Amino acid sequence: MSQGTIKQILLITDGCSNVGENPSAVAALAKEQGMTVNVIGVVENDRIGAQGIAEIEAIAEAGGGFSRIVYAKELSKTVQMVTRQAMTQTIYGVVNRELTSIFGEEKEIDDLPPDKRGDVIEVVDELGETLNLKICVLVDTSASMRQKLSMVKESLVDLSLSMQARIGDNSFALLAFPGKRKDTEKLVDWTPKINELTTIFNKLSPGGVTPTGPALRDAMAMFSPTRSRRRWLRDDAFSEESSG
Amino acid sequence: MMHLAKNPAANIKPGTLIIGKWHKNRYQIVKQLGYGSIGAVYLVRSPVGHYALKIGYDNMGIISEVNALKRLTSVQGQSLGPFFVEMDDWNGWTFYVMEYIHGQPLFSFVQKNGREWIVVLMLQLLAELKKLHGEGYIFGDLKPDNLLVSGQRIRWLDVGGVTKIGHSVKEFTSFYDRAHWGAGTRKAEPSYDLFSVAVIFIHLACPHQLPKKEAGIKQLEKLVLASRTLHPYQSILIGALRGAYEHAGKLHGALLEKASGVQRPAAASRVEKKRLKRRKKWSLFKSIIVMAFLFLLFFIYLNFKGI
Repeated sequence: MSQGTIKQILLITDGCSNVGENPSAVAALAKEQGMTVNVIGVVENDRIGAQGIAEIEAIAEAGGGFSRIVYAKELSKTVQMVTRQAMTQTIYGVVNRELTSIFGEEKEIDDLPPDKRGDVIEVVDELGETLNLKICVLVDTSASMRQKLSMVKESLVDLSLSMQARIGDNSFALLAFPGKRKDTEKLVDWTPKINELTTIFNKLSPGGVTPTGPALRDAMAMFSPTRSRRRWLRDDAFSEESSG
Repeated sequence: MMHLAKNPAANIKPGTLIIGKWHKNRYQIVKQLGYGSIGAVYLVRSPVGHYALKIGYDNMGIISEVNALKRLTSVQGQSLGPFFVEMDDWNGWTFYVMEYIHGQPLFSFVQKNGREWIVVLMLQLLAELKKLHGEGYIFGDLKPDNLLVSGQRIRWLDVGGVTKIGHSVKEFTSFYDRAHWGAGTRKAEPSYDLFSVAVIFIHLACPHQLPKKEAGIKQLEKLVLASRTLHPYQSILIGALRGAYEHAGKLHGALLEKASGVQRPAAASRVEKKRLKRRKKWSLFKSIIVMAFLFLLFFIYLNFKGI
């Protein structure tokens, strides 16, 4: 939580990865770098198989975040809830470590009597409202997601509404995977509002494989200042090439 | 990590005895009443009676709710919320115990007892909101599901949405959320609750005409204009939808004035008319006396002048 910024990756997918490195390993790496990885599995009429669910849970677990499997119409509420819960949990973790460092091991918030814990949570809530928040949203746009993208769009606009009401600053970035001739497509670079992505979503043409692991790695890179700049340049070159 | 459906906290068997780690109080599970995003609510039996017990998948969320519940309890006079009993731990989960409120859902109460109750219930709600706002908090997730009518009084159940004014609203339901309708921000301010109150009012009066959100609040306004039940409150409700009322007190005042006015012309009975006639006679009598008195004074004045 360097300089009071909470960093989250929000992965929205509907199935199993089938290309590239293991996504859980990448999520664990992201956690080591102070990020939280939340995963939402979206179902419509289809189902996510047991293997898909297991992967979704494993990624969130490794990334220190939350996972939910939901129907597309519940997406808005879930995205908002998961983001908020993960934020609270991050702060809770920091406060916990502080407590342990002051009172020695085996002294955590849960060891406090209920009333004292209430006071701690009050502080946690306050911090959750005022700290800066950076969310990199990573959307699976493989073929099976076609029907669900409009709900994904709506849920992200809704998330933006909630986050804008916070006191602290927010910024969002949006990546989609698979990209054209690469693992991910950067749709929106860091911006305080996600409203502008509304139009971008309509241009997406879902299809292709599901390189969840490599995509997570790209999402992770969005948080590193030097690499993101370098990637940005590369992306520009790519888009010129593809448009030409 | 925590997963909703699988979580054992949502699947505690009836008959299970829950003994708090700190206070050692005993609660026996009777049945599940429902579950939400942070925990499940059970009806429990204790040596001193029945309570509702909420136990969580999300301990932090539970504690945060307890903070809200305590706040509501401290606002009391007679609070609309369930009163808070205690918070404790069991099996690594945090739980809290509160009053078990019996009651009827809002919709069925209105259906059974008549639409004239809508404004009464909303006035009760607004009076309580005024107190809560005065303490620096809003309710947030106001919706019929979170309200019950117990006796003839509206009560609120789920306090998970209670948010400090100026913060972002913690929990909401899109149909009653002004940001979702494009009618304002999701920042916690009194007018946020008042928007929800207006939508609940409309929804109760027109339970079968759910508008779609695509057309924005215009759709809600159309419903208001078309409804006979809502006719007297047209301008007030549209004002609340547009954020014209900054305080619950103002909306309460406007509604109360209208509601009291609404019932009078219909009920201007014969008794009332007679009383009016009597009042007229009395005022005539009064003016005659005053005139006579003035006349007397004038007469005396003339007499004195004459001397």
